[in-house]
Amino acid sequence: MYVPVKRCALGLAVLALILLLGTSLAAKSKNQDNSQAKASPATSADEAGRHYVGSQTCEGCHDQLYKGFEASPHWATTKSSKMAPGGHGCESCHGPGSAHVEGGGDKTKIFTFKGVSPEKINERCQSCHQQNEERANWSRGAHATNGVTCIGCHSPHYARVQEALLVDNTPQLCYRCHNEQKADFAKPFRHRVNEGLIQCQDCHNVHGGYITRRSLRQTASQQEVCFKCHRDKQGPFLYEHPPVKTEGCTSCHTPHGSVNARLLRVTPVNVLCMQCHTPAPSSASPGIPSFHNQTQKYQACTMCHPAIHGSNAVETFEY
Amino acid sequence: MSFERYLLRVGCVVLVSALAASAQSDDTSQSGTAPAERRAGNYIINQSLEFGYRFTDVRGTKYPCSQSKSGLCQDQSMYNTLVNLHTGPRLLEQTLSLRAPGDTGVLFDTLYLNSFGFGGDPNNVARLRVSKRKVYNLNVTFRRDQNFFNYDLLANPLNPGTLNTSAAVFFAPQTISLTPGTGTNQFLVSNSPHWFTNVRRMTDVALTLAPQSVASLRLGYSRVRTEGLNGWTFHMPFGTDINPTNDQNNTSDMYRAGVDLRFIPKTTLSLDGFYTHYRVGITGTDTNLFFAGPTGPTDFGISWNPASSSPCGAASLLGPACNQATFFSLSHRYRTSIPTGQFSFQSHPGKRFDITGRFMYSHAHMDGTYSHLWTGKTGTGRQQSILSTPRNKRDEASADVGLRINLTDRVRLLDSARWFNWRIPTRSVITTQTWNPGSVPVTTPLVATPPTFKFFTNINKEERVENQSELEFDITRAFGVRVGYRYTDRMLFRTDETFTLSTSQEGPPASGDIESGQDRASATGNTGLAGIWFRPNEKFRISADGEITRWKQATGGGATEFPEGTTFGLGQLTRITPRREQQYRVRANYTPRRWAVVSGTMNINQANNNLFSDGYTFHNYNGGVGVMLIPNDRYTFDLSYNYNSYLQRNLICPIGTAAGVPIGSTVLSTVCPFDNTGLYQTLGRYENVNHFLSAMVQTKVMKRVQLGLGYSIANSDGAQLFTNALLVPGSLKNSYHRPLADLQFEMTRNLFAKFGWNYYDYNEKGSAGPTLPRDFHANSATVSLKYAF
Repeated sequence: MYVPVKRCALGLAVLALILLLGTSLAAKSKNQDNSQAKASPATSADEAGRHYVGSQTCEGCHDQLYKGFEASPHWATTKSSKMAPGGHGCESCHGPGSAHVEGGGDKTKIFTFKGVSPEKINERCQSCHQQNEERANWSRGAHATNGVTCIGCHSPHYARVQEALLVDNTPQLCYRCHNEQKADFAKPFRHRVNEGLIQCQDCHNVHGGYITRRSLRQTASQQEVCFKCHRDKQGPFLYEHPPVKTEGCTSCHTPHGSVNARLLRVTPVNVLCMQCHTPAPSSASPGIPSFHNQTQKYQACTMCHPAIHGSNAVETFEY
Repeated sequence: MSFERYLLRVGCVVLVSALAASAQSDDTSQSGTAPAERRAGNYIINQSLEFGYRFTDVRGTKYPCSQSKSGLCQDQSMYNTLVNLHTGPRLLEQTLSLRAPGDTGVLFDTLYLNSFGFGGDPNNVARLRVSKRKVYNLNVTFRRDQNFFNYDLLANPLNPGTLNTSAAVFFAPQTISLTPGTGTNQFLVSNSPHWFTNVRRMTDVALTLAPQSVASLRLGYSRVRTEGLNGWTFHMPFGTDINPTNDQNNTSDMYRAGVDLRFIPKTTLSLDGFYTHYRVGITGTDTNLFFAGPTGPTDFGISWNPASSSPCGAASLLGPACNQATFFSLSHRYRTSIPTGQFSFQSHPGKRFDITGRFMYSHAHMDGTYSHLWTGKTGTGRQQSILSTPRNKRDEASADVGLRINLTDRVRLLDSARWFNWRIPTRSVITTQTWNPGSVPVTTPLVATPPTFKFFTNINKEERVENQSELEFDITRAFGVRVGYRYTDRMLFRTDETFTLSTSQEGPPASGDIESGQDRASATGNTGLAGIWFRPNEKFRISADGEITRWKQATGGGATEFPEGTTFGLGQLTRITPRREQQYRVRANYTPRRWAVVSGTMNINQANNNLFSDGYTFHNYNGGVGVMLIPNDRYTFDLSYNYNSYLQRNLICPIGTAAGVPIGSTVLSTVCPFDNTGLYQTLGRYENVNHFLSAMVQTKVMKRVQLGLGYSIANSDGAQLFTNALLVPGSLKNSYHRPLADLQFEMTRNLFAKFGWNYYDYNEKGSAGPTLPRDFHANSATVSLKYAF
């Protein structure tokens, strides 16, 4: 039975508005508490009674780390005038350090990002970095749900790439886990990722996006991300080849790399076409007509139907 | 001088000069250390510049270069298709980084500029990022992608070698297309009929003002411009396939303006407006008029098959009764405007809860003209012109809501809901005029007949609802599981109407001449999701997840079936849209030291459409391991291996004669209808197994000398359905070897001499067929100086 999608959409929109309103009110009351906290230094200690000691104190023992920290974008937090003490310097990530100092450097008395769940690690980073269009959906993305942490790719202290404090350049960083893509981009026909023309994050939102499967981006006009560069395939066409729109580019192409020309999933192209365009009982796609004799003469379907993504003049995609 | 000898000399020159320079260098030079940071004012500056010269040499074993119509050796074409690096001076790499610690910069706090490839490489990229933390962020990217494609098997008609033509009718340039040395006058198509050589320039600018304020402004601009030539095939109705060349100049401009409002604590409300404008300008002419035809320069088409009168029966080959073109021109002129509005929000009021949402609406409006005119001879007439004036629209709306609720410290509920709706209504009047209808010799004087006017209107639409809910449970700090469910509902609808008009203006149809149809289909998908992750410490992580989907495709139907058939009319979206899917992934990553990474992956993808008459089966199995070691500046080691198996097959019904029926097929089965057209049932199969291995070692062999050696091989094997004896596996069976070496000398402090060598060896291993297997081997060497300061 067909589900009334318009009703579902309306319901979703109403639900979203209610939740937004509710959370905003909740946040407002919470923020009032926070404002009070900022106004009163006495509340800058946590529940265990630990308080903030300042980054200069940390430097006393961790001078090498501090040196790197000083050169990193995070050092700017030490100068923040608006943030509460907990938002300053080293302790903005590691938490109040008084117990750690008083314990003679006891590692158990400060947050070291070790021995905690990925959720806790990500929470620390997200507390500052979530209010951003790119990272808004992190918690539902494939990385977060598979136990990947922010510090798996970013290293505030040991970044090899200062830009975004990455532990390695892309795509090598991505290849550390996505080994199969490294093989794909080494195939004869491929997108130029290893050559530096395209980056993984051009097509994928590595921090999770609204489209959860493969974290794919979209074009500005809500089209598949492929159309950002391959704009001529996007239409709208007078005669659309419906699967381009309904099933997507990947129904015929493998986007990363292929042994087949034009990144086709199947060769020869005639077999790919006939997998849908066959006059079998289960198929309503137009079957090949009688004069398309495959054994009398080899002719690729796309020779006569080159405008296969859509045409503005003829329903058989000949031009 | 051979290339190898040349390369050797260049290498020696670099070595000697480097060593000489090294001997004269300051003793205080600190080999192996990064250049000291330079300070200028408030900024720490790092920059490097690498200029050099690239030498390339391409060789193959296929055809002598002189026998190519394009002037390129086929192997050179293949090299250009896959690699396309050529000789000349290059800016190999440039970086500039300025940082003002503590945000003390005046105009900016950080600036990062990186560029490479300028001077002639096919990919040129420049990326600029500038920011002043609380004031602005600016990202600018420029990319130039020079594309060349000429894989000669693509769309190649693979003409048989038994034609009996007279070489005398060819113009001189055409004789180079005769098979070298065979003497059979075979009309060999030695280039891909579908080729292109174009340049795509992509510019992206994104500026965010006051990024950390309660109100921040986002501005953006993107441009994609594609210019160049492409060859294609035009099918003359009841004629032959001529080979025109198009000159295209297409430009897409996208403008963005948006504002983020953070007046509500922990909440961001965003409003964005996008405007995309796309211009298409394509002109085409027949550049394949290489024959001396009855009325002058003529294109007899590239597919020669006398049995089906292409260009005509063997007895009268190349005469006035043959199908041919003496003139062809084409024009595409379109303008598309797409305004898009977006409202989005995100709210993270606390650790317990966050919500995000987005609503987008866009409306595309396209209008323009398509026209072409050909002169010559087909079964349709002596000349034909077509003019189409499409007015196409596309409306799209989508709404997304994402939710995370921490039920407890360890249990979370994640939900992603999406509603998506698009609708494409199109309309056009198509004017067709034919001269001398029917089959008349090309020497017949042109006589026009009145034009006909066809009006076509069409609507395609889809509505899709998807909701994915997952429950995550962190059993311990090191181990978590999740289970979930995804519901998807799709509804597709299509209707069209065609009728003839008495004029070129839209109006009432001519009496009794309406063809219409409508159809709809729907599908519901139910997906079970599960996943686990195990992360005992920060050094090791393994995750595994899987999903199983069952699609229920409701039987389609409508008032009238399309006369030409439908895409999704009989209960399925396409024959290769699976009804069952399952996917499993395992990823493990072990980082025992900060400089050592060992990883492993395994992917299992399976899908099928188990209808009796379809038999669609798909799988993609993949597994790989990788090791990367960077213990210090002296050593780097990188090794990876990947195995990939791909299968896609289903029952198909090609048309063919009994002699051509592939082994194992069943003639006139129950799946393929018996209609005396020569249908036979067979398995349309494609199988591919791919192995990939790469290894790279870099080491400092001496105090000032760094050496890198690497090798990668991608090997492919497989099987496919051959519907015709002329088909060959082509690239399905190939090996692609790419060894490389690089040598770097520190000549003096911060100045490096570099010598790099890449070798490309591509071999197709299948049977020869009418076109020989593509095969090239190429050396590419670079000699460069790098200055880091």
